[in-house]
Amino acid sequence: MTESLIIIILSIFLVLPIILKILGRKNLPLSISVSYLLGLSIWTYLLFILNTKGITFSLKNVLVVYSFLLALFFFAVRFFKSKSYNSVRRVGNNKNYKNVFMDNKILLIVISLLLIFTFIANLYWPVKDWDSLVLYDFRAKLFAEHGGMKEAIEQGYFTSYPLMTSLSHMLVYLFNVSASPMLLYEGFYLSILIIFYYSLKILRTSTRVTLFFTLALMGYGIIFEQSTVSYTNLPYTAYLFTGYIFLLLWLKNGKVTSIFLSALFTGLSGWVRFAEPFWIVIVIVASLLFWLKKKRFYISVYILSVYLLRLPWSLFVESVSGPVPYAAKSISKTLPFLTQGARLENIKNVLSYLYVNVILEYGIVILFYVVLFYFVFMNLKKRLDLTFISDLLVVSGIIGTICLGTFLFSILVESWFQIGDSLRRMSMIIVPFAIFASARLFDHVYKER
Amino acid sequence: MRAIKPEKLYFLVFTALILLPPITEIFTYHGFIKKHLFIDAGYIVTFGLFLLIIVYKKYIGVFDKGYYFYAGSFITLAIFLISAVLEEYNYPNYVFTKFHINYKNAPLLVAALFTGGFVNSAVKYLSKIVKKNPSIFLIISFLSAVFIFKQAKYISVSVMRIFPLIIAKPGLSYSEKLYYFWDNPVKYLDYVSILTNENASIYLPTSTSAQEITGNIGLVRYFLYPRKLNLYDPEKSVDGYVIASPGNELGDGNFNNWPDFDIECEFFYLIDLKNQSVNFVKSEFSSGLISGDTWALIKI
Repeated sequence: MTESLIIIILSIFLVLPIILKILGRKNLPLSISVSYLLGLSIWTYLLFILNTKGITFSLKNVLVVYSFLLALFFFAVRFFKSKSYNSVRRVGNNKNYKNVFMDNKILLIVISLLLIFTFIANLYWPVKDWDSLVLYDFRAKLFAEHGGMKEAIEQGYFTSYPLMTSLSHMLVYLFNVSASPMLLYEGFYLSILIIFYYSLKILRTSTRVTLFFTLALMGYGIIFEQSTVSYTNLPYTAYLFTGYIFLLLWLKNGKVTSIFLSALFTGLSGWVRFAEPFWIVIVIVASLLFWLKKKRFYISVYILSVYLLRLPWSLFVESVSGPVPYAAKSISKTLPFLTQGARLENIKNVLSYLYVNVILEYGIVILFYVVLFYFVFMNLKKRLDLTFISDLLVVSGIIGTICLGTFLFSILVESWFQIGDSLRRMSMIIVPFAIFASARLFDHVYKER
Repeated sequence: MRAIKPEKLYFLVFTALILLPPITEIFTYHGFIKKHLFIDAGYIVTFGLFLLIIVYKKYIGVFDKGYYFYAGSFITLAIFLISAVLEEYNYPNYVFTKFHINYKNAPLLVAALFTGGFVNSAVKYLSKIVKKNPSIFLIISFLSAVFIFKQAKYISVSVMRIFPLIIAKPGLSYSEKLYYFWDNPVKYLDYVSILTNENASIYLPTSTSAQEITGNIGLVRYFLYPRKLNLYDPEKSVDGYVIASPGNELGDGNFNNWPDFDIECEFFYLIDLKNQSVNFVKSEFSSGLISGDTWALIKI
């Protein structure tokens, strides 16, 4: 536990000064959450790149790399000027805190209970789940033992997922080989919740609605479950969602630092899971927003940043096991097969597969969003601003990607129907996006009363 | 004595009817309602909530903010968590044998109570909010209630799966926790790592659904690394150890043994996982020797 805490604290402090300058001291919990995600991924990514250049994974080396990064960011922060974000409206004095508590006591009690549950579970249980034993944690143990990636590569199945979570586990094991890295996942869980809460508050959503929908996110079965499992789905969701949030905040505040953070998080999501094409949805929506806002220069900068962040891992995979299945490449290769796959029977099979693994699990949250959208914009005739269009595009883009991706997968892979559980977990990306969009719509209804 | 208001009474009776299926399954078995009424208990609760919203829309909220329901769901969860802990202290199925309570079906009741609380307080709140369009109000209320019900059930199941051991045996070692989670296969693999040296070749069952753990090279590798792992091939597998695992129980007391054929060998270890004993046997290996908690490691 102590070792995981050390890694969490070190990751936070790596970029906290610079994030505080961007987000403002009044948004401290948000800054800490963003810093944790960013610090951990930057640190592990640099360790990976340096390892390909011959720097071994050892406690001394990872601390030297950390000190180098710390010095670099410390130096950078002195030259960095940025006006901070809107802060969450301060509650003020103790009496008001008490009022917020009394008004929302059931919500706060359930939120606290869930946090206590996940914290205790992560404290108690070691790494135990299938994929983690087969790949993520196994790689971490080999990295810590051998100081490099060669042994892990020889064991096979290495390049299927990037190394972010494995290298994070390794950092813990370098301090103590018998320590448990599970607390890192509590960090991912808390981070996504705090980012969710604060972004809604920065967008001026009322406290009760924000709390209710934060509870809906943290209590969403699969999100809750994944917070106690050392898989890559929750971290990936946290990175991609944060990438989108900063894009949305840019729409509100117009700060270039928001675009920078958005591109950084969207690109770094590829350091957690590479093959899923959901990042393309964010890139397309970002490009569309830049185009509509007449900031066309940002389009190329954004795309280039995301591309450059994804490049090292894809080059490495190519060097180890041949060409990487880029989403764009597979689509262009697959298009000719589409007509072949568009047989009625195949479409029927894919639809029933999607129904069992996606609709039954996530249909309710999607339907909730659709009904609210209809109600707010058709019945209440609210003005549809760009942020709501952006939410709609992202949610529909993700749903479209899941459907199209499953369809392509059914054509390309013979055993496609055997990994329904994997599809179910992969599709959990829809949850924070749909709940976030619903919360903002519901706030309109709430303020209408 | 103060008379109970009719609306309170109606609401109570209706809620009791909704809670009846989950309660029945706690005292019978999972699927009891479906067997006799041809409809899943979960659907009855969902449909009941829908009716509750429609019929008693104006009565909802008669209990102050539904705290009774929330409290009821927390208390129910706590009671069944204690039942699960009792089972950890004693033996599997202890609670059912002793009290005739099927606590593993409790998440349905916990979720129904929690959603009852939500319906009672939040839906009343929603009706104020969505005053402009009653049909949208109904849809949003119903979707929210189904959402809460589904997630509350999911979380209750997770809590019942994760927490009993934490409360019952907080001081377990790393291996003991893994044994709890993975059961005999991991206990057995720990014996294999003790009985073989790190350069040994280990041959695994040719993967069948009955041997999904011991037949999975990727998973077994986590426990036996750096030993060389391969699937068993009678033609090619030489000079190593063959894993002999009973696999799944077939329902008639017999097991899906692998190998299901005899193997000529130098010797084999017969490993009793229940009594934690290992017997060294110098003879040909016969498939019938393994079963349940008795596994083997064959030297070829």
